[in-house]
Amino acid sequence: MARTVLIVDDSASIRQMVAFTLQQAGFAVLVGCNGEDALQKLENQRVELIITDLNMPVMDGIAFISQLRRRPATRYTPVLMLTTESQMEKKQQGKAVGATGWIVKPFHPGKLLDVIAKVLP
Amino acid sequence: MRLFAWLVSLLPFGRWKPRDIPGCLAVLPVVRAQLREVAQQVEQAVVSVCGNFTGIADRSRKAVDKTAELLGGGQEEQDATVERSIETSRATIAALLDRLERAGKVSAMVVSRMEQVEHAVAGIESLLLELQKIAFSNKLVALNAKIEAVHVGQLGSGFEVVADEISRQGDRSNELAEAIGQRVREMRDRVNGAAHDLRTVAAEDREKLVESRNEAEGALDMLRSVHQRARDSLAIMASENTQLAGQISEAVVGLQFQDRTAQCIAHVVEALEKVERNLGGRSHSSLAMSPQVPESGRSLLDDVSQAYTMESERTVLTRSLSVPQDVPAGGDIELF
Repeated sequence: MARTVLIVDDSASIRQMVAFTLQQAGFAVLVGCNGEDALQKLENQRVELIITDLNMPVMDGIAFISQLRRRPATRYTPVLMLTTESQMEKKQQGKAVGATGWIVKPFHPGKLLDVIAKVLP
Repeated sequence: MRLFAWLVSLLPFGRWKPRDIPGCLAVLPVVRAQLREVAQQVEQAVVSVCGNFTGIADRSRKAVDKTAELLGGGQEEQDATVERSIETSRATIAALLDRLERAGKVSAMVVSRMEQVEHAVAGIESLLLELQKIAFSNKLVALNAKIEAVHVGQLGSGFEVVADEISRQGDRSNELAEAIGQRVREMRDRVNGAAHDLRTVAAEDREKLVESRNEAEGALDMLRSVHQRARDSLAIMASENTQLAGQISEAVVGLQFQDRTAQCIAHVVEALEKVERNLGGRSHSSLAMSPQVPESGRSLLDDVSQAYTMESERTVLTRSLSVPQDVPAGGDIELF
């Protein structure tokens, strides 16, 4: 059975490119366009990994991860941040709320899959 | 860039002319709308390109998988693959040829037995000849006995009768020997004929067997060669598929410029909103054609729109101005 990954980004093209990369590697994907949309999607489905952008309207990545860590179903789900931000302060903020990893865009599909292989058991 | 240069030219050095500010306020919403439209169009284009990449990669992978399945076989033993078909054909042909070869050997054995019968028949004929000789001798003896019986006179009459009987028996033996000899000759001729026919057929079969074996082996070798070429092509396809996947990955990296560009444009739009508010504007569209817009604002807008070369730019302008848009006649192609 294919493992499911939730992709959260306000950019349709980024969602599509990440989905394409993961599907080629045999993952099933679920998408959300911001943190709030993603939380609603998680009400009905379990995922093994979450990849989220930082800067999004309605609910940004930091608030989204904070919410995830409050919920039992997603408290220990690996969360990778995929963002254009590379400032140390932002990374620390992500780490503090419970992000598992930080990837700066643009991502290389092969390297993204390597990171996923490391964080998924 | 032309718009930004124009805005910058207004800035400084404290030399704002009051009539220019309304002009700027008129143009700024249009500029923001144009920037948002550009960002949206770029995103749509990138989404479309990525969609095509997905299709290309999927088709390529499926073609390689299907060909591999046909050439190599799936998990089930019953799958008809080229490789298994060749091996099954080879085994079937080999079994058939083996049976033909055994049949040929049986024919040879039959021929050999017939030759033995032929020798036996020849033996019988020589025995019959001996029998005929004995019968002839008996006839001579009977003749001599009859002659002696005549010499003896009346006392020899009984002896003459015996001699006559012996002579008759001799004749009868001769007749029987002739008849048996005739039958044996007929049998010999038939056996000879059958042996000859079998030898001829066996020789033809052997020749044809060798020919058929060579033809079958040749056909299977050709099939194997074609199959190997197909496998080689599959290997090349798989390699090119891997290269294609690599190139698509690089393209995915390149296409992510859109995300950075969209963010940059969003930040520029935000900055323009702030500039507009700073200049005393209301930071929304639908201002330019209101009665409050001074003549300078309209002339600035005219100046800006004269640079447009695309229908989409004019559409954004008219949408920003909330003016009903004329539907362009015809599409992108028109013949004169």
